[in-house]
Amino acid sequence: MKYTRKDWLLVGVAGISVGVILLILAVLLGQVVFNGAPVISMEFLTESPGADMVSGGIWPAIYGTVYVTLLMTLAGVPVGIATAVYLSEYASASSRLARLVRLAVNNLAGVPSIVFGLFGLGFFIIFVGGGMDALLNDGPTPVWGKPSILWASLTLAVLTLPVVIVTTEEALKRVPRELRDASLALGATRFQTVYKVVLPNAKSGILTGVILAVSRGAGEVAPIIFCGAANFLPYLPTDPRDMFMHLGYHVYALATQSPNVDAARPTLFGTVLVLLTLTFSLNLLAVILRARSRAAFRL
Amino acid sequence: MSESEAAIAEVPSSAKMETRNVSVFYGSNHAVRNVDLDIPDRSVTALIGPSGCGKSSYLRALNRMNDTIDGCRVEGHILLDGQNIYSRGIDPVEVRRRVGMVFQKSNPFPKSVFDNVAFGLRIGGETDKDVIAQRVEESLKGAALWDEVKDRLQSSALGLSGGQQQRVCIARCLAVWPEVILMDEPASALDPIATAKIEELIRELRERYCIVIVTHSMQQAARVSDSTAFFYMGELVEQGKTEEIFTRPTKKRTEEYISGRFG
Amino acid sequence: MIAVFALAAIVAIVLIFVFIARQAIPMFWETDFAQEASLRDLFFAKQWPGYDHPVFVWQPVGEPEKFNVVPLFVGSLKVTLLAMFMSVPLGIACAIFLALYAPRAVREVVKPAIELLAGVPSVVLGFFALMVIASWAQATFGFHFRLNAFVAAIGLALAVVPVIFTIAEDAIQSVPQTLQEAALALGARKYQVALRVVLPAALPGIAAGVVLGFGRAVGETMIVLMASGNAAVMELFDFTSSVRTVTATIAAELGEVAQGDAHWRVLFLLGVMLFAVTFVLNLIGDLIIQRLHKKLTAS
Repeated sequence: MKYTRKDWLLVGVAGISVGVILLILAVLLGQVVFNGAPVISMEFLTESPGADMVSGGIWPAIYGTVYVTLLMTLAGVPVGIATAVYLSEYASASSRLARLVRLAVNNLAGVPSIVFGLFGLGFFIIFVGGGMDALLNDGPTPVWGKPSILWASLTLAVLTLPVVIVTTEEALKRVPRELRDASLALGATRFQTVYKVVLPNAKSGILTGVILAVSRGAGEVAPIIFCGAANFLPYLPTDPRDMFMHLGYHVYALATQSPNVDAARPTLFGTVLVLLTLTFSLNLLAVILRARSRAAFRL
Repeated sequence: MSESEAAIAEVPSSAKMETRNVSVFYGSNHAVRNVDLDIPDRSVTALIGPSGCGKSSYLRALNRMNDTIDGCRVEGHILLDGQNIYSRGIDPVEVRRRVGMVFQKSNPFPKSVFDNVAFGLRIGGETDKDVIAQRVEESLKGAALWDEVKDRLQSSALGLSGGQQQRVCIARCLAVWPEVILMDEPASALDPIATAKIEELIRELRERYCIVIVTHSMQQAARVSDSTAFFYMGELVEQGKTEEIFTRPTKKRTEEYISGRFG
Repeated sequence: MIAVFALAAIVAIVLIFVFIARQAIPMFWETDFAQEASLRDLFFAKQWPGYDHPVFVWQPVGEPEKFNVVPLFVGSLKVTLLAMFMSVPLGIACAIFLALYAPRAVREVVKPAIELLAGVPSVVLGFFALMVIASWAQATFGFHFRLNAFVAAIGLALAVVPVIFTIAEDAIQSVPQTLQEAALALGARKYQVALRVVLPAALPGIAAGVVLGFGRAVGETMIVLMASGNAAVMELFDFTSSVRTVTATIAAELGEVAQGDAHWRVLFLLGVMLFAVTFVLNLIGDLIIQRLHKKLTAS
């Protein structure tokens, strides 16, 4: 096909746009790898930071990130899957409740992350935690009503709920109608059909959603700033009521609150590299799973 | 230009389009084989045959729409007014302005009726509002749709019935003043009444245009066309005046198809 | 029974709003609050002692405390609009290139690359803006402030482009092939097909993407917290000055404030307003899509 001048103009502009994005991405990744890789060592990954926050390693941050993300997953995924199951298998498309739930999910997805932080503070820490303290705790210092892994993970669970719900619903939709019909025709209840037929067949799609949610949750910093993340802790959190260090938060703290940002540069890049490696591997895993689960239903 | 090409170019002919030894390949699939067919002006030529016999592929070669398909190759000569439309210097866009196409399933743009019909003019560079308005009216009249839509030109074309949408597509095609109109099963998605209207329209358009219509309905071919070409398995089996093909076919295959023994 | 779980999303949204508002609302009747700030001062210009005309000032640590929120919203709007100005054309252009012009092999590589950008946590984008983009901008343009609205907007644009790109690309892909064929058959050139048929037909989807992107940009915290310079300056048109957004204000100041303080209440009020803004944007987005859909399918 012949291209005129205007055709080339459009292709050119569009192509350059793609080029710009790819260039920036390359620079970002390049800088992180180039500056961060020299810092990575066994010590860096397994030791605690020194008092100046720059020397030593970032092990507590890795530990804290994994801990809070794990709790977040345990709390949020079952609820998310249940909601998706309801929307996909139980509710009729036009039912008022279903529409309300979808509206809520859409809005939840759009709530700014800092507002989740305020939510964690105002609801979990002050209301629930404070309430628990009033009921269970005798002493003056708050045990429940303070920032901790527990409240941070619950807050993150609410934040990632839409991701789990949307991807799970997609996965459920991909299960062919015929499978459900066959199960029901054999006399199974709806619940049995869902539990024994639909969910197992949607397994990899659901897993994809979980992994995406984990990746998202591991990277979020704003919600945990006042819900439990700490600049520097001399101990590893063992109790859910403890505060924790976090990879993303560590980056933020070092970048904005370091007395000497230049000295902190190597540590910063190293931490970013670890964080990016974590989220990228999770995303990659999700992409591979998604491709496989789609191929499974392509006949 | 080779000798044979020069020879073809020089011989004057009353045929609007001539196809010589035309083959269409999809990759290695030889879908249309060595077709020689003349298409006369101001008449309707019908292409009939069972599904998958290559008639649509052949049709699309006539306005170089096959260019848009990856891996599709056209060989042979296709002449429009004596000029090979596939020769190197020819811009396919120019060909498509002279050879228009109406598709099997009507595909009006999600725009107003007016904007649909004016589309071809505007992309051709016409900016004069009056010229455009006048052409739109002419084309809609030419497609026997003006009376039905004249009060709702600005409403979405998608709000019309299936038959009306197809006539919008025809009007849209007419607006650029094509010389040839290719129709790929234009009424197959329509109900009988809408189909009758389209067929009547075709009979009217015949006065001014060269029309090639692909149809899987023999009755439609018999009603509407002046000459008919029967395709089978990518080959042109027989062609001739419609009356003769349907009453006195010379090839056995043609006779079998027409009497419904297969298809 | 499953329906109970499904309510979770609705409950979450309600709880978020209620418990943030709960921390802010007492300001309407608390006398302590009225002593330190009046509602009127929050939104209107006031002539403070020492100034010669009424100004909009956010200076909670000043003497007296000044709580006008207007500079913060101006800051948010500035950065967001600038980011949208950069990211919408870029995102759409990339979508056009990949959906309409790029050969399949290129598309399979570039599309995941752009979506990789979506997986980068915002704290990393903020870090990148702070460390790399700011230095580059300083070297190229010689800004007075190293961290300013422009730099923050670039960082924000990087977060928003994948949102717009993914949705626009999807919308463009969904335009039926037959419409493109119809245009080609009428003698249109490829760029005419792209700009006059495909893009208009994909408009509802693209509009949705833009609204979603805007909501994301307005609510983004970490990037602006790290890269905007954090000076609550009331400056409407200069993009090279530092700004403070609503989100950054909450994130930066809440940690320093006593619970129940006037400052505390105002910060939560900011949270409520932010929540309301994104909620409304969400609804508007839905409405736009519904209306455009009607216009393009049938009247």
